[in-house]
Amino acid sequence: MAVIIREDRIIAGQKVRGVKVYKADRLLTRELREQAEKLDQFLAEKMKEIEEEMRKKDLLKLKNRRGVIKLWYEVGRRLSFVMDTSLVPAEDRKYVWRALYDHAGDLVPRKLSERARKRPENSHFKYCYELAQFSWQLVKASGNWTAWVEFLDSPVIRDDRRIIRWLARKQKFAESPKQDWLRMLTREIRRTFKKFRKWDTSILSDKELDARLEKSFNKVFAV
Amino acid sequence: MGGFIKPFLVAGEIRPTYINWPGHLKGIVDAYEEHSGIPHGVQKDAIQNGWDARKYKKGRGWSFVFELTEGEAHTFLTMTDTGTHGLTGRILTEEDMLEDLPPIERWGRFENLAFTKEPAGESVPLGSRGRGKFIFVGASKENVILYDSLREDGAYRYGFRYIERTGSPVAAYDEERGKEKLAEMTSGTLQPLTEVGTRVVIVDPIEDLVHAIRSGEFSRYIGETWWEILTKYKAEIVLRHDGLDVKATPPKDFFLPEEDTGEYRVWVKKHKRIPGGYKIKKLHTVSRRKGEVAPDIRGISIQRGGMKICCVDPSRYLPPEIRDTIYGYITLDESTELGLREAEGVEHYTFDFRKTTVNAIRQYIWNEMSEFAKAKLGWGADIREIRRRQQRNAERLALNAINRIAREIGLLGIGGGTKSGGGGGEWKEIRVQMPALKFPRERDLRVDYGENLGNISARVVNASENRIKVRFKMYIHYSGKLIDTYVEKDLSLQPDSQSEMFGPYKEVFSKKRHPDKGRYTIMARILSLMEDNRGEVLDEKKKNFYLEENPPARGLFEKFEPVEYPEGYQKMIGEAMPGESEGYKIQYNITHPACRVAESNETDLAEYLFRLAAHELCRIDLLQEKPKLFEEADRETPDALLQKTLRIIGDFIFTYLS
Repeated sequence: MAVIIREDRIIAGQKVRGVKVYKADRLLTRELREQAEKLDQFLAEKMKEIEEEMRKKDLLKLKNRRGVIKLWYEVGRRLSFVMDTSLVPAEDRKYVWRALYDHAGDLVPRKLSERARKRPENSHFKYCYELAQFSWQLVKASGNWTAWVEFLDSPVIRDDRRIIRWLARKQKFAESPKQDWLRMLTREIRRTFKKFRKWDTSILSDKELDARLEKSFNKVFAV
Repeated sequence: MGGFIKPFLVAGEIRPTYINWPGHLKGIVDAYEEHSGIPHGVQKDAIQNGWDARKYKKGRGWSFVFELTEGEAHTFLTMTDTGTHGLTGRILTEEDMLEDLPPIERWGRFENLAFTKEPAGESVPLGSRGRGKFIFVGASKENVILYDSLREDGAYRYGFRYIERTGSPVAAYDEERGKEKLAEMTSGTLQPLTEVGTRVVIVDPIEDLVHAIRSGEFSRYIGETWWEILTKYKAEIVLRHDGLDVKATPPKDFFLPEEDTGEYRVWVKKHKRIPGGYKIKKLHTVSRRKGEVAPDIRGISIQRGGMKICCVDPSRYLPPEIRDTIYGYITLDESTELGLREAEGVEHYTFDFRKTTVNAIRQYIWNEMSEFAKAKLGWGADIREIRRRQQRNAERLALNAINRIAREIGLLGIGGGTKSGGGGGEWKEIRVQMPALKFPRERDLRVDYGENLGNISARVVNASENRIKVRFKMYIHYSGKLIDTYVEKDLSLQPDSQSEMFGPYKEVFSKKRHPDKGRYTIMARILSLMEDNRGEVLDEKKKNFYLEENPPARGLFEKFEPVEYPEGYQKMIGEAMPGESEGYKIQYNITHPACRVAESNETDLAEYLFRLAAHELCRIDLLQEKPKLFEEADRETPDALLQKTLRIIGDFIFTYLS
């Protein structure tokens, strides 16, 4: 398939804003173009729907404010359609994460970053989706949105999904009165696995990995 | 002659065009060389002339003899047909040549070039352009041929042809004069014909030809080209040399069983009408199950009038292990053969497959080969899916083509090469050694569903002075998602030693196992199991490849990017823009009507984009300090510049479409 995104383009030497660019891994035939237009329409409607819902639930006003994590958590819950291959082919996902910005209206967090442009799989809406994979109880107790971005940005955590699964199991974090524990835990995990130039955590059995993560956890919560 | 010029012609003012005959002859010879070589061309044209002149359609009483004769000062290769009409007709003058030649004027047609008259209502002649005789001249070290003919009425005629700077003169002598001339010119080595027929003599044949005759290759060429008339009509074709008399036979390995046997699988279709109304007499396809067959018989031979023209190569679709075992032929009804002739190359070795008839026949052969392979040869792929896949390759073909041209003129973008990424870097004491992967297509990092990636193998090398304990892992992943682990083994290696080679493993791509399209990586990694650095990656090698997706383009142009040009810009077709690496991307306007016309079909769209890229390549070249495509003079006036640009683009498109 193909996905439409909107970009500023130079055409005939002039900068033109919001030009529709078709992203596809193959030549854009009429069939693909028409599919892309339908998908674009679908994304527009879906994001408008989410935006309206967030507005009605009074969550939209949290943007750029303390407690915004609730907004992004709720948005993330509604973005699971991106992972539904009957709606979005897996190979187009990366473009769809980027295309969501074009239709997000007031949900757009800020100006489109260079990172979102180049690596949409590590961009805002993808992280919203990742966040929504955890229980709200845990997310709520974990700190703020920035702490989650830091956590999800960490290469060691991205490379070994067992760490995210481990975190999801740790309901007792959710009960912790400690503020900002996620940021501290992220830094501790990074420190633990940064011992060598390059680590492969897969060498660790689940038990070994859990033991190391527990050690990080204990360090954070012992302070 | 056209009516326009006639009133302007004044005697004494007009001159003929002089032809450089040695150059012209070289052109003819080179064209044969490009096909199967001169010796092959000699036998094909000689027998073709003889078979065309046969008295009876099924060749009753017909024979053909090649004889290599050593004379006192010269060697002669004689090529004699019998059971034919002989070269009937008169010795023609220039005035005679202004009229259409009736079929009986065989001598006249043989002596002159490209004067043919198709016999109405008769079968389609094999030869038609009169070039064949020049391959005989080209096969003579002296560029001389002799010929004589004895007709049914007892008339004898002898003649010769040679080449000089601006001409290819001929001479002819009747009866006794001819016999005397023959004796004189061959020092009595050759005697006048005693049987009705025609003889063409190559004087001092070239070494290649003599070698082919003596080595038996010539005999194989005859069998391979003329197996149909040898089999069907028991045609007698003899090769005489050095006291040997060898009868040509179809090649033994061109065995055509009608039914499956232990060693052969057979696919026969008879009397089929195919789209376009063309009639197939017989398609006979055989696969030798014990392995590949000789290259000269591989594929399906398209037969015309009992002669093999060329083979349809099944390689477009079938894998080599099946492709190289297949041989056979297709015969057609006479009206379809007529259509074929229009598409046939002048040397009778090729077809122009853009022509409707022959294209339809090739398509039929491909479809049947696919059915055969699926039904009897254990091939699982769907040919329509493969065709769709080829269309997906259209973009890559266009990009590769324009980048190749850009490279040739020294305009480079990102680095070339098709090696899978990874590896390289510093030479480590403890390291992974990983041979090249085996891709479905050479020098192409793309794989598609249904295809295999082979030779996935690696070993651990310990060139350090210490005994090491490591874990070796080799696996395939997609964007970090593990697809499969080929090896995961703990090793203990002595100093200066290496592990066994793990593999080769094979990855077969399917939608179920590999739902994601795009870049996959084969990773081979050594992890330390030693106490002080457990878990450290000591070395890794990775090889990237692309599933159902084109690898990033290498060269000046990185990609084609479809863009919807907004109002005010909609008449623009597109333009080259700086790309993400050091090259350019072609940004094109999908709302332009020309694009809308091309977008229905990937092949058309690729060609459309190639044209745009070709134009932009000219522009980029002109922006260089020293353009490679344009001379100083080309840039002096806008008119000259545009003319040159058009010519260059024409060249590019010609190359692309050829």
